[in-house]
Amino acid sequence: MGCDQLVRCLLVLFTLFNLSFCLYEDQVGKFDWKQSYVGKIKFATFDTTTNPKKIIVATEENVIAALNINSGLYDFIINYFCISMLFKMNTSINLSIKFAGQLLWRRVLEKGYAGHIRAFGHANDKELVTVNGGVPAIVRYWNVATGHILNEWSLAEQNPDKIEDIQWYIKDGTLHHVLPVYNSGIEVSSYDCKTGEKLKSRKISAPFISPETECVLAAPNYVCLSGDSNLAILFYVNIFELKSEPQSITINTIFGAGTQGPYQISLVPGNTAAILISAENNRRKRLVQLEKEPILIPRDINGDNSVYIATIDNNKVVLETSYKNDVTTITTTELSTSTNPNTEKVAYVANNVLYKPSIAAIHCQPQSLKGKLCKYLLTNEDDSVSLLQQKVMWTREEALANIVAVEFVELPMSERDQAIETEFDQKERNVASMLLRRLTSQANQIRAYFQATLGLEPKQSDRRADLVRDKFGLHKMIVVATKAGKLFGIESRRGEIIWQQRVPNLRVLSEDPDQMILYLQRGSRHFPHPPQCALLAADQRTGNGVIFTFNPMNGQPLSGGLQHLDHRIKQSMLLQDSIDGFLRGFIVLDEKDQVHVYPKTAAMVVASQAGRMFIFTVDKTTGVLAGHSLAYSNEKKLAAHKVWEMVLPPKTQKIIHVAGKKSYERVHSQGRVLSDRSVLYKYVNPNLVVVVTQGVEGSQKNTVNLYLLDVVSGLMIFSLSHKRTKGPVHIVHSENWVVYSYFNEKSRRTELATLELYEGKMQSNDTAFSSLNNYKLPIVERQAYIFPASIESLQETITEKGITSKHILVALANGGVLELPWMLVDPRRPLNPDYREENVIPYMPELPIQMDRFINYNQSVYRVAGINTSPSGLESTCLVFVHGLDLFYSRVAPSKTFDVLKEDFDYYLIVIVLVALLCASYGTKKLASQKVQKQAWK
Amino acid sequence: MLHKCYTQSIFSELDFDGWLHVRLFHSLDDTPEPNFIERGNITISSIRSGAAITAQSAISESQLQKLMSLAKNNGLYRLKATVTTSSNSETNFLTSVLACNLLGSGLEDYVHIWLDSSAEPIAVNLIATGPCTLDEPMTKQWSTDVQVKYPDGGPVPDTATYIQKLEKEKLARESGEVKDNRSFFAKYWMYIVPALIFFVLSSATNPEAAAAGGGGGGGQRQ
Repeated sequence: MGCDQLVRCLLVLFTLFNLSFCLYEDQVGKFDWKQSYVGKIKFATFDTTTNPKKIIVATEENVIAALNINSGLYDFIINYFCISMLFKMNTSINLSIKFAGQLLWRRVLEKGYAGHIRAFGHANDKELVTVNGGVPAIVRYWNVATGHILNEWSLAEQNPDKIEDIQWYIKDGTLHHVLPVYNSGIEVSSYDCKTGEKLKSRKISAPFISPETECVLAAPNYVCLSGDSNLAILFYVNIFELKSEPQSITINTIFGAGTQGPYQISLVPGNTAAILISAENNRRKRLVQLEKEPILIPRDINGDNSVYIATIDNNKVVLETSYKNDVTTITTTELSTSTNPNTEKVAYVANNVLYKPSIAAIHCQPQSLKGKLCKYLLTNEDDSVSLLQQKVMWTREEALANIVAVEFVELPMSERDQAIETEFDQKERNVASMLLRRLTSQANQIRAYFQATLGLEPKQSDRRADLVRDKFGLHKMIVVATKAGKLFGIESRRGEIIWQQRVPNLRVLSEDPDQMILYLQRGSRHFPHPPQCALLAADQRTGNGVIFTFNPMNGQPLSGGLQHLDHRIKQSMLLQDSIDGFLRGFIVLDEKDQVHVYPKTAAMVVASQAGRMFIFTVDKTTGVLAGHSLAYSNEKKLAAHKVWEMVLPPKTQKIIHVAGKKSYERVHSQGRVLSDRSVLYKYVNPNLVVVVTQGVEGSQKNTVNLYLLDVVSGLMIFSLSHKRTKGPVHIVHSENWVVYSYFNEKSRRTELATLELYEGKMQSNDTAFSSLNNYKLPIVERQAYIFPASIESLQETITEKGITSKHILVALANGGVLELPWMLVDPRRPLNPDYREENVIPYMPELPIQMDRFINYNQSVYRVAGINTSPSGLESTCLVFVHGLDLFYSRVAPSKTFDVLKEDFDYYLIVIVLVALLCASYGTKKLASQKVQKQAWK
Repeated sequence: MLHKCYTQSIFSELDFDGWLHVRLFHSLDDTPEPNFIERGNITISSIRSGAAITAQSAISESQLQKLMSLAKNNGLYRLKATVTTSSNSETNFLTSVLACNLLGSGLEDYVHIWLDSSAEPIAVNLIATGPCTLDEPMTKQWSTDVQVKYPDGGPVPDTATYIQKLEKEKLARESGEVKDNRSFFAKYWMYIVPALIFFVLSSATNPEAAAAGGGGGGGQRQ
């Protein structure tokens, strides 16, 4: 009965939904998918008072979101229904279907430092307070159920230089701003959370605070550790009592005599004031509870374990999480009976989803701890987050909010095709064996056919049947590497995560922008060799290079797997030629400019090509750009020697971008036909790289400079300087053009500029381009346009043969991904309409943003970090993967789908017409012959 | 001469003029590690005018032989340039060309000194136009053409001209219809040509059918 009603309401709802869509409604979600993430969890709290029960999280990505505790489909429908009805389909509420309703709402705060969440807490059952930013701090008051901001006020910071020392504390609807003053005391100002009204302020004497002390706020106590590794003293003072005096405990009282430093203190998460002191380089830890008087817990905590403190059934309980051999154990110790610690195991989970977890939040019904029915929100070291209640209820892969490298890999052939492929394997030339092989394979095919028709179970295979190459190469595997060092294989049709692989202790090669490198060493076309990918990253501790070689179809390590190098990776390059087994090696240049090749057997390939091999390096700190030749290499010893060097002086400018072209790009048309029928030839230099710098100080501060550089010969091709402009700069470099965006300070707007390079009316060498023999500087056409929106990322579309026209994908700050035809940013757009050329529209200073050009229609994607494009098997179609806080995948056809029949193509009609025409032609032929015969008889 | 340039630069430093002094060293060895020997120097008295004085001695016989053997091995001729600016900062640059191209151009080369927008040198490029030969050049004297290059100003959206254009169009519209003084054929060719083609095609392909159709029509009228 209730169900019936629900279904009816849902129907009404969906019809409403359909009405609100007006364009290509049948194509929504057909070629695209979207997934929403929140990032690494920083704070979390359970909310069980409002329906549905949820977890509110605040993340490192400056996001506040609500996750549904229950992930069942029924719950999802109810939630969807309730929220939709409540807010009349308010699209700003993010509902994710893909995650079975886990994300109820999500609010994306300011980007970067200004949105940094510093404090997070409940004001009462239904309302929440967050403090973010620094100067000024923004305090927001939220409704938990809906995620709406009820009030927002800002607090001008009096001491902006001490911003990192300031602590915040939220309790009973009051926000306390705690500012330590060195060698003097602590200033505590209290505000009403909702209104921002200043309630009171007081000053507490605490002369022990100095720049060297390490302090935490374990409210009501402000705790500092001072002293060196030999003698350390813990000072604490109650900041809410007017007449409080600083107290102190020596470290020996806590650990007992004979402990060694260095000591560190940290706050224990949970709702009870407690700190954790670690000694002997984090090997031993002790807990000190600081509710009123310090209570020492005379028991060592393992350095690898994480601790959480909670109040359950009016008892203070310490929860200790340990992780060993893929098994997670949570033990509890009641604090009130600390004299006789009674440790009890409450959770024991052997699930490889968990990885070095720590408790972020806990929710217990009365008496549920004993029955082991508490819910734990665990954050794992690979950034994923799991809900544990006896078993892992669900897991969110939050590492995907920080993707640093993407590679599209073609799926392998189906097993039937593979059998045919083996049949025609060219390795053996013996006639008899080939005949035998052919006969056996055909017998197998017949057997498979009969099995299929008789409905017998075919041979079990370890591969999924749907993960095979399709006719048009549209279905691919998206391999992504994340900042947390976790690799994922995402299937492109639905966005399902097929495999995931953790690579321990990884960090990015270089920061800002974060960089790891994925090389596709062998594609899927070389059966029986498995496809092979290599990830290049750095080790977390040493910073040396790490190479992880894996199969992109299942994430399993291949040929060596994880290799720790004894050098850093300064630059790397995938080789063009493959060695035996169709494997392409890559070379790595280390910090001493030594060349290494992986796998080692590829050294031969390098040596044979050495005279034509160049590699360039950019040092962002010194501003030195250098080119190296491998000409003096032989098979035994690979050596790079410097052939050019230039300096972009770091005292005037800072390198912000180095943009090369895609190595697999093809330029179909070598020239451009002008109105007088002559041809203007494109300057297509595959070795051209654009270096973008931003001026640092003085008169140069607000300039953006571009340098076009041939990285083989080291020749500067062109340079350009934009006065009174600043970043963020986004850049796309392809074919013979460069499109980039910057912010114009003078006019206070974003502008998009284009450079296009031409050789002139004559082509210097029409067969092959050589950087070493080409010295003529190209003609540079340039134009700038006003872009009436803020840009997050730029990318160009790419297709297999480069015949299809290029579009530029622009991710906007408002969540849209705009497909901008290159024709609109063409620098040859004439001001005077009389000088018109073919396919060139007259100049207009402002680029229009057309709503129907958004490839993601209403599926907004926020904080776009990058757009990746890949050619498909169809020349007309380009695959697009947008990543940031959300993942979005779609395909675009810049010149329309000229090589595909429309979906509604009428096959019957054309067959009928053809047959009719054929019949008619036969009939008329007969009639005509009869007529001729008759005429002949006349 | 240097002294003279210095006094001049005091006045022009504000709007980014100054002098440059470039010392050139080249390496003719066919080894990974370069062995630089002095080639000459270039003095640019004013970076804005780009006037340069080069002082280079002729290449010695032994050096020429080295250069030719380098060219034979398809090696790169490396040139190190040490640039001193009017603010007395010194920067080293390295550039290279194919040795055979240098022989082919008869020891005639171009040196491009690239400056950034604050007139700091950022790159020195050596260019030899070639063609690639292994023959001994006609002369042993270097002839170097020096050019100073600085960044172009970036493009800006041309709003002024566009607004002018719009205003002009508006004025024209206000002052009455834009006079179209094209001929009748120029104006309506797009209608005339297809009609003409249709007419020609229909009459040329089937004159009998057309005639018969006409006949038939006539018959009906009767």
